[in-house]
Amino acid sequence: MNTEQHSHSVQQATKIWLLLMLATITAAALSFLPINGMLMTFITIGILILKGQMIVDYFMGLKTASAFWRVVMSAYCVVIGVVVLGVYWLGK
Amino acid sequence: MKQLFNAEIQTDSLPGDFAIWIFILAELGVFSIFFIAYAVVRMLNPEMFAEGYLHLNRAAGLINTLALITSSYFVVRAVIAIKAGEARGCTFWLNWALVAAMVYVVVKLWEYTVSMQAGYTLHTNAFYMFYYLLTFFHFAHVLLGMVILFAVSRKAKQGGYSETDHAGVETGASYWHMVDLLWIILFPLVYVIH
Repeated sequence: MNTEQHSHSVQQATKIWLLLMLATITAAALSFLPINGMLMTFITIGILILKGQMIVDYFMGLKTASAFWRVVMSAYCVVIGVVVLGVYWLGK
Repeated sequence: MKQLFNAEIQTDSLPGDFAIWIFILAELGVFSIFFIAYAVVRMLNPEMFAEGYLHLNRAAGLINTLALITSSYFVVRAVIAIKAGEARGCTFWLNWALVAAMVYVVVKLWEYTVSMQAGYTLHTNAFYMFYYLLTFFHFAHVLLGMVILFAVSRKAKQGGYSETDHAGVETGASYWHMVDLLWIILFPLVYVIH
């Protein structure tokens, strides 16, 4: 890894870390707002899927890995999020 | 589809040891059962879960999430450092990752103590059963991850990894990111959605 690659990797990781922190604080702030339960669940799951994708791609380093592993890991948060949304919607 | 199938047998591009990814898949599978069971039981007992939610410390959940994300970031920095051949930098970042993880451990133990002193135990109701089981199962994974990071940090300090030989660091890092990923799901499920 040359100096330029090293610097790029550090900058990218730092940006992703800041985005993850911001997304987490936004999700936590939502729980204090008087928003309709299903809408809040939808937004929170959306944030969860975005955060999961960032972790899979940039922290786990699967963005450049084989398609199979990237798809499997990325799908995890999406599937859990959609199932939770579906279950809560059924219970509405 | 053909591309996806062909990619299945390509394991060279995976960070760390291939075996850790099989382990990660198994762990994610087990946790998915917990997550879905939590959602279903919550759907069946909305009032019980709404009341239980009110007693949770959301600030503690937020602090723990920020601590784990920061710890994961430090682990990423450790991987970047060893790829550049900086063994001391790798050790430095892994040690900071352990400090951030320790914040999580202290806050979680404090949270458990407060809940139990208030009389809420595993047997109180279904909400608390899930709260303790889910979070403690994750807590145990954090502890195991800390042991792994500590071992990797020690080996890095002793010069056990280099610019060309750092699969051990990536393997430990992959496990740690899985622990982070699971908490990213657990946090909104238990502490945010109500």
